[in-house]
Amino acid sequence: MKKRLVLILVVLSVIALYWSLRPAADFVVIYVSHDRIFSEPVLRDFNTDTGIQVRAIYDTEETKGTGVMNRLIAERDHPQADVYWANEPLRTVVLKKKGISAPYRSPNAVDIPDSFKDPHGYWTGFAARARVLLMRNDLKPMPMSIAAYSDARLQNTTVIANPLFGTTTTHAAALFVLWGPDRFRNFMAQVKTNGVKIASSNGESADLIISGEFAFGLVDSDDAVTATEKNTALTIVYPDQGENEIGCLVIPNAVALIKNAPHEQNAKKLIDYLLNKDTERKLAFSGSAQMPLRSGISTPPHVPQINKLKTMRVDYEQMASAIEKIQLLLKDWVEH
Amino acid sequence: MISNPRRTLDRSEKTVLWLATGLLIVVGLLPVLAMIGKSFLVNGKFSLDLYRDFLSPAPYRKLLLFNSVTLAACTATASTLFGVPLGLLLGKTTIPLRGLLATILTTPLLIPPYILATAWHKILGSHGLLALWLGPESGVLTATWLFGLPGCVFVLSSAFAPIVMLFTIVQIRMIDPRLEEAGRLCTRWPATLRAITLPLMLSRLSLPIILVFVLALGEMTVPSLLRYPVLPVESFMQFAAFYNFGAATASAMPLLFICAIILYLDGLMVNDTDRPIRLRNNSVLMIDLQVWGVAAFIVVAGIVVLSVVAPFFALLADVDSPRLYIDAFVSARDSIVRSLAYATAGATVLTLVGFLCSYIVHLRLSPWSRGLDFILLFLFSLPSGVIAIGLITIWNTGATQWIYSTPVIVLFSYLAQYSALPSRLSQSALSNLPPNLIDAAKLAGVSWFSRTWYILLPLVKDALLLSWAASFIFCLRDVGLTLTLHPPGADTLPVWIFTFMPNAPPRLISALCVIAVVITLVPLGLFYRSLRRIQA
Repeated sequence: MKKRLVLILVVLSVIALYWSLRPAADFVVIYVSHDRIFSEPVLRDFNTDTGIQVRAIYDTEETKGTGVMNRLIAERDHPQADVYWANEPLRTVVLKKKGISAPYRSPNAVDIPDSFKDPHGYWTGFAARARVLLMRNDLKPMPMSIAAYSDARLQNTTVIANPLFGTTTTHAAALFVLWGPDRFRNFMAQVKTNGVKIASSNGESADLIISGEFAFGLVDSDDAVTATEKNTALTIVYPDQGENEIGCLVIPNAVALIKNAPHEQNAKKLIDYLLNKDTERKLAFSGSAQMPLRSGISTPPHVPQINKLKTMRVDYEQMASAIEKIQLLLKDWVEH
Repeated sequence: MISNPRRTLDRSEKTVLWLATGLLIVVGLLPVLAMIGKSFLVNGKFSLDLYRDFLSPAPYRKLLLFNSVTLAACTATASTLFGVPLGLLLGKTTIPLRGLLATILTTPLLIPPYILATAWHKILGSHGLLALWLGPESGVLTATWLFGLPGCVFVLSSAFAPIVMLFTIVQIRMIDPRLEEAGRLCTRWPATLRAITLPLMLSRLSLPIILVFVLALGEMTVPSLLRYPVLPVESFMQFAAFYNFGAATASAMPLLFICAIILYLDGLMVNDTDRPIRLRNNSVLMIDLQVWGVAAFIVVAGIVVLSVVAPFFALLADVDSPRLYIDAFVSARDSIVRSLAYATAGATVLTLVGFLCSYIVHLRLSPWSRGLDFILLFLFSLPSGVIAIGLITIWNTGATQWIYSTPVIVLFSYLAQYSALPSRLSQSALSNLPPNLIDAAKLAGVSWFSRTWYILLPLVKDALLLSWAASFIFCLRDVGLTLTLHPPGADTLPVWIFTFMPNAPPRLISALCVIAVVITLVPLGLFYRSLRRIQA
């Protein structure tokens, strides 16, 4: 019995090691921050269409989508990844600044608006989320702007995801760039005074609104769509659409080629594939409900065409710089 | 007991032990030292800036440290208060179905605590199952209780109490029944338990209590979900929000001091000299509960319902079709196979290295034996991110791609973080052995390998089996290390579950959690069978 057990353990260990050292096929390595449930089918289609095997590493909600970023940074000297699929451009801007990504202008990205591309080709945006207000149908007054966070009538009824992580950081950076430091600080102070609840993530914010614990909150459009499917008494509002208002923030996915990528040719094929119109269409019809950045791509009824929205005019490079300035401020805001 | 102050070593003994220590230093300590080195560099220059907050902590950091220690202490206390009586009932009495109850009570240990917390949220949340049954007011009440220290302690205790329970059962088997028989000749069971069994057992319970304390101290996912700010969140924030590896390491340094204090206290608690020697675990003197057996069964069954059935019911309630299990299994089958392969290889290597480390520590074979014990415990308490990034720093080089780009790096990470577990379990077994057995063989000229293979290993084989099972469970449920280090396209089941959780149908995730429990139960079944065989 004992010998048999030892033998089984040794054989299993050897198989595990042998399996790990098996010869490589034609493949490409991609690190993905976009939700696995939505990104994996696209990568599977690429594998089917091209025959190139995709070896992916996905991120988790637990690490706020920064697990693979940390890995990319730590692997800088000997990159394992060929491509990075970020769920927001700021991450790719950080990679560019740290010298981890390389320029590549995909022929499939010609018709993507310049505001969603790095001018030097270090990253290219596609398929975007919007930052929207999720609220109860019966909420009075119905918030139409993020300024509602400081509205005394809505005191202690609002929730927002921790601004130290994810798209809420991006949103804070966008406001900082747009408004300047003083107005940004004042707004954040008013929001805090108004009794905002800080949730661990956008998903949790949406859950707290679904459960009725809070009346409204700023979340990503994919979280909002999922929430309205779970609770029909909720409404999505694209904020700040008035004439003199700032518009809603649009956050595209972004793809970047990794510098010294071990499989550069396959990496470029994969980037081209991700940037074609069909990928944007697939992501619009998927549960992530993402808006195509180009016109002429069909979308389901709950996904608006981007040209029908008033969007915030922001520069992602400036936002990335702003993040470095506001991180300590945000940390202080969260902790006190 | 083997407690030589210093022994002379054979050449082969010295070589093997140096190899084990060297492996641990290279695989575990070096990456962490690299990270600590980074924590002293700011813009490429030596600086103590990252430790400024550590040396003179802001009020919020003091609060985090206080919360962390409070959570760890409360979890360890609650786990002990539940685990020891349960271990006694299931390992020492004739309570009906004790094997089955022990197995069921162990299941919360098999899944990541985050999933357990999610399950409890489904029950106790303001719109959870309880609120559906008893009305919204009860939901608000339970949610208020769940979100905060009580909820964190409850979830973590239900996850970690099985460690104390299992260890109590093992300790009971190591008590010489002749001592209890002698006690029973002149008194009843309660007095025998109080005067003989418990003192013999409790002196060795520091190990599971320390393990639970350290596990709760390093736990971040449950406090994060249940909104209780703790110190590991600070380290995580440096990784996630600032990408600052040095600051992340610096913010984890208070754990170093906490570990030192724990080891010091552990040294005070354990007294090898008062432990009677027992060579084989042939029998346990059982307490016949007679009519009280049913009452005890009802109490334990109540705990089973509360700590296991309820959260699993919350998970199972989502799975509305058996077909879902098949779909979930098919989609994650590669990850399941990899999980089992990594965990099997990891547990085997950990058991071997853990045993050798325990040999060094317990026999005090060098002046730094105690230091080795400290290093193991410190590595066990460190946030997995620090170890993982440290391993990338050391092993992601051109010459070591055969390590870094293969599952070998995952094995290294297991070795770096979890070696304390098998080492401590083996130490516990070694402390039961008389030194003259080994010394007599040595005097007779028996080689070290023969002494170890024919004398030592058979005597500690139960502890090794337990070490293997414990290591297997920890490797199998690991997320933090595997997530950061697994080769591209070669994830494990927990990583698969965690990467699928956002926006995936809850019923699919629930089905996968059930599968994760089932695949972990297999080695536990083997372990239980083996214990039964020993008992028979």
